[in-house]
Amino acid sequence: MEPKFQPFSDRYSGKLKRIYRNWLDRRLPKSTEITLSQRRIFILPNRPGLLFSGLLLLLFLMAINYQNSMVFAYTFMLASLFPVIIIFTYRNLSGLGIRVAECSSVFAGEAAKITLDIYRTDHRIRQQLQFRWNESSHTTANLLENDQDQIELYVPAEQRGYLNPGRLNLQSTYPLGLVRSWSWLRFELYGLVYPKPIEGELPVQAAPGQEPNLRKIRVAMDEISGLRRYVLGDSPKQVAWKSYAATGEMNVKQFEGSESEKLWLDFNEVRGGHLEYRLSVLCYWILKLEADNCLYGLRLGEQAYEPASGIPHRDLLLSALATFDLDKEHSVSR
Amino acid sequence: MQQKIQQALHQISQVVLGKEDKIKQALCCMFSNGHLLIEDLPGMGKTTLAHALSRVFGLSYQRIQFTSDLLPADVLGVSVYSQKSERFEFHQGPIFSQLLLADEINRSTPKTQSALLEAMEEGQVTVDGSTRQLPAPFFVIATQNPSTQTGTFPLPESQLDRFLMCIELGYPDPRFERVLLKQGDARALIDNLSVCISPSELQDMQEQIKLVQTSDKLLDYIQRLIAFSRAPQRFNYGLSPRGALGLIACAKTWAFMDSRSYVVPEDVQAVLPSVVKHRLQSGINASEAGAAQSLLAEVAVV
Amino acid sequence: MNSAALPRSSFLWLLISVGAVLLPHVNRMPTGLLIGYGLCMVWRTLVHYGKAKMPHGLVKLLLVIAGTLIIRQGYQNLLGVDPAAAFLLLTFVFKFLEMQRVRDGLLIIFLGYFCLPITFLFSQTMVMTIYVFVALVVLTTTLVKVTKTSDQAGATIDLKQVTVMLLSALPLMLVLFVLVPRIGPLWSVPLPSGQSKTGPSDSMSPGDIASLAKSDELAFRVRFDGAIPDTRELYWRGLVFSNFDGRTWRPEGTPFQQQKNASWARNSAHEEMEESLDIHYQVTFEPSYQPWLYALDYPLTSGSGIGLTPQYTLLNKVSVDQRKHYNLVSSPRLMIDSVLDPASRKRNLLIPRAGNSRAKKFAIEQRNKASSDQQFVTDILTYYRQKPFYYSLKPPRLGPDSIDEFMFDTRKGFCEHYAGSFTYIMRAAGIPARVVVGYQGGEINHSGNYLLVHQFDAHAWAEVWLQDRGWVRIDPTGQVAPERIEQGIEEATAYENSFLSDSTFSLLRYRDNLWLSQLRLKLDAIEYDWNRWVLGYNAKRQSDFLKDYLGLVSSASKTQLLTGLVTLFLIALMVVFLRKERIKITDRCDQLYFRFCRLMETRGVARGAAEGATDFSQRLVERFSAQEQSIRNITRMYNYLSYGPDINPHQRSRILKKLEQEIAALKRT
Repeated sequence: MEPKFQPFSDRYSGKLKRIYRNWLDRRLPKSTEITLSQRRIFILPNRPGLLFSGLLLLLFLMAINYQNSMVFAYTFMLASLFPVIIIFTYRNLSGLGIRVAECSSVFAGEAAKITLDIYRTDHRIRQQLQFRWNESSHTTANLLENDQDQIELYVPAEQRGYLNPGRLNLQSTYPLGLVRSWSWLRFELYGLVYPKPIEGELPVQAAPGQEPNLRKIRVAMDEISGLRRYVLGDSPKQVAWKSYAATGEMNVKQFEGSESEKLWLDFNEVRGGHLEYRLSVLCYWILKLEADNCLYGLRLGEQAYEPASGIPHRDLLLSALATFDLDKEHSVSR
Repeated sequence: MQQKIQQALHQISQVVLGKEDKIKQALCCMFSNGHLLIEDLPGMGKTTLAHALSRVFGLSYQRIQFTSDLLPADVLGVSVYSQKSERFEFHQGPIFSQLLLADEINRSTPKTQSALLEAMEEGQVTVDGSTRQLPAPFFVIATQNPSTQTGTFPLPESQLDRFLMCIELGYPDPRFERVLLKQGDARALIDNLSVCISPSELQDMQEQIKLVQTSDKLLDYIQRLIAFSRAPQRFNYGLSPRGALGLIACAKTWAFMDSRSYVVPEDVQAVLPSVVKHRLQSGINASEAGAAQSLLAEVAVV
Repeated sequence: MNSAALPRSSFLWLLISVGAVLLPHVNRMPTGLLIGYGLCMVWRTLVHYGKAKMPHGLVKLLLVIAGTLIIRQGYQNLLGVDPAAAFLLLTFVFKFLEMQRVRDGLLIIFLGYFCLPITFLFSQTMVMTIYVFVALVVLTTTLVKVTKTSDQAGATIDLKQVTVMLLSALPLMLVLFVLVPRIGPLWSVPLPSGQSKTGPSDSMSPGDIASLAKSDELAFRVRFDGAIPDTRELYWRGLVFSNFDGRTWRPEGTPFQQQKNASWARNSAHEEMEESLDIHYQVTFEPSYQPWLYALDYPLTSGSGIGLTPQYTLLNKVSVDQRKHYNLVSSPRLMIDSVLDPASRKRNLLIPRAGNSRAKKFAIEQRNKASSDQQFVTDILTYYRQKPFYYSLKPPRLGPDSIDEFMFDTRKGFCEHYAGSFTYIMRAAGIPARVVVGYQGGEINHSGNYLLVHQFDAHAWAEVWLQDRGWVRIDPTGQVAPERIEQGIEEATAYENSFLSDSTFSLLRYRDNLWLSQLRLKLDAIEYDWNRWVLGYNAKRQSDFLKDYLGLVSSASKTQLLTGLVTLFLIALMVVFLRKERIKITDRCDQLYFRFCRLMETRGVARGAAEGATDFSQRLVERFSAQEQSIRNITRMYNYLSYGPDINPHQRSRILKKLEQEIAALKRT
């Protein structure tokens, strides 16, 4: 629910919107942890609130025309309630703290999960806190007895790079739904958007005339040099199950040469396509080689990552892809 | 009891010079029935410390030098086919000892590391389908080179968590270094050390330590510490519940070593750097060394 | 969001809200409508529990038509307040029946907000006011429930929140109530007409007043400036009946003529009289839906909108539909109509030619026996006293010759029988006489020092015109039942136990019970003040109040005061509800330790938040070596209390005391 700024004509709407955005950006800078204060909270009656004012007018007319003291008192009671509502609605947001608890990294085109911690800096009850990043991603939180709560929001990550889902809208009409208080939150997120994996040819630098052969690499890994007794900690993958079935003894296959074959994925070896496509193909191969338990390295521009394997290694390479050659603007805004 | 602790402390500081504070931490770790990780450059007296500890506690001592080609079987033991009895016979590995010094643990492959660490956790070894109990008490003092050194396989976080404490010895004080240089290698002295605390006494002590009080107020403080460590972007990983339990156990021991029947925040603060060092990895903003310091400096006691 | 489905947790609240809004109207609604409302509520409840389907469009249409028809049937004219209220409530209940979305829920609450104060048009008692406040809390809580998307909180949390909100709005409401200028009606509106007229009507037949005497409703309250006059003197005249058709007494002239003949200006007659005997008093008159008002014999003044008829009764410009306050001066010694003009004389002698022949004969016989008119009056009164007349609330029915039958046969009657027959006999004997109807006596409320006049105090008496004395009040009832005049109707009818025999639950029936009686009078005193000060707070009272108590005359100063108070209220609200909640240190031990820390801070060593007590004491000792023992003791005690083993409260408080002493001692060094 964006506040509806419907300016005089569409011609100006874009400009006004931009001015509003810029003003918001200045007023509400990015941060990883935000405590809501009057600087950040906006408050206005919503439509039912306006209806309520109309009701007050009707009641007042009734009181005047019937000259009825109690109807006067009743009308004044409801009218006096209005400032109280405003304060209570404001109070529902103020003193609330929100921080990024977790922000996953995703592949472009997927939705990134952002976990937010909501906590209060006092002991007041908070209800009906509506968080909304966009139409498809919204949730409601309450802080009753618990001082903290966690919410999860999913934001679509369209573009490779740093995850930047824009402002989060937090609003509440609690208690009476007649006044809406809201805030725009911009979080400093650490999530990355990796390139979308696209299948392509294996981009390795091959010796002239020699076709890189994945099959060969895998075969190389499968060359068994001998068997040894199973010891705790050995991977079941390497147990010689055939001989176990035959003899009932648990032996473990020993390999050799797995280190000799090292794959160097190379950005420059990706055939054709623009930058994003190339990164996507590299991404595909990183995932594939990791799944196949290979040792793989990456040459990306001027940087080179030594061949290795394991999840941390994979993530390192994916991060390199995600942040590779981002335009200046992005990196400055970080 | 406390006298004996003092005595042990005194004895060890005869061979590990100028490190009384670290020795006390190491003792605390042992009284808390936890495994100790010593992280330092080679030649800083890690081995000496471990050996000395085994002496004063009168524990059987084994040492394994971890190398990249060390296999799990080299640690746990191996079944060898005996011609005579016409069956496999189990040859106990060095792990079957009361105090095991695993030197340069991060030089071996993860496979071997995990074999050791699993044994540490469970206090037993399963080889060839039969479970063998490790002797009690069972301590592992592992040393590890700073991971920046080449040829190392850093221990993963989950494995690190199994060490109760991690201490750094550091270079000795110039004053003590001079003594060290004068007296030469201290290893010869280790054999002269006498047993101060017998294993049964150690067990008694551990029972008594369990009785040390932790008040609600203190637990509040510990929870604040934990919550602080878990705040996002501060450290990569917050303190695990196991880490928190370790913190309390060590704080209790520290209080006990200070002849007190209840824990005060200072006890927690004393053991905290060693307990959290290997568990907290500083986040993007903080420097490696600052993790414990920032916890201590920023979390209110009351 | 408003088109979202209504949260289920709000349903019960909506049901209660609808019930709460309907309840005060129940006894004013046609039964058919009541049943319809009940049906709708039950239906929707069944729908909520999945036992019925939402009503079909056609069914809804039929229901609306049926409702409209019932309203048409139940109320004669459709322009009054009652049918309008009934229509509003109908909409309200139908909306409840068909509600599905949050939007519907909001509309129901808003309709409820509007319908709730309508009950004030009918009743503004304190009890009703409290009821409406409670209903307001319920409605507002329902609003909270309706606008919630996920309800985790129990009912009490929101109920408490709403109560706090409404109570905190109360001060501003009072300010607005007192200070917002009261404007006159913008257009004329139909007033509630549902209630039947109360009090004496504009005619009197045998049995009329007796039926009135069965009502324990309040007629009016009177506050006297001086002492309350003797009960025997409290004759509240309201209507004077001069025309008699053999059965029914009526006032002279049409209502229009009465209005015309009344003087609407201050009467000048009393100037010659002794003012010291004048009685000054204020009447708070309950709505009677009739134009006449009541005053003690004989009213001298007529306020704004009140006319004084030539018969010395008071007339309101319009019928009294709302509680009315008026101030009066009465002069009991005033001689009225010292000279009777021939037309009046003739009118007040007129009796139907036919019928009541025995009475006529009796009158002439008696007159001839008496030496003077005065003597004749006395003789007739003696006749009433001596013959076996009974004062009764249950008089037998009378035939066409009602005077004859009563005087000589039944001899059982209520005041109108006595007043009527007496007047008839006077006229038959050639003495101008007329019937006066009003109230007699009243109940003194000592806790409020005012007089309560109920409907059962209704009374009729006679006035005869005598030479040189003008109209003289004669009450024949007093001859038969002197208790009626001295103590009221209850004593007078005690022998037949007929007082308020139809209303078992009336508190008034138990006037004998001292405790109950006192309670009733206490409550009435509160109600009276409520009526005078709260309900009667109109534009005039407002300006008087502001002038007398606050010295404000100009509208600018009033506006200033209003603005100032509203601003003050808003600031107070913000201070109360938006102040930073400091985390309170509840632990006594911590409080004392923090006191110690503050002390040390003033001496130049401050404890860091993350610094433990022992470490801090270490630093302190370095600096203040002289106080080392004291510092160590404090730290030890604090540590022991905070972190040490559990100790019994007695021990704990002893150590706390010691800690406090130690800190105090340290402070002195």
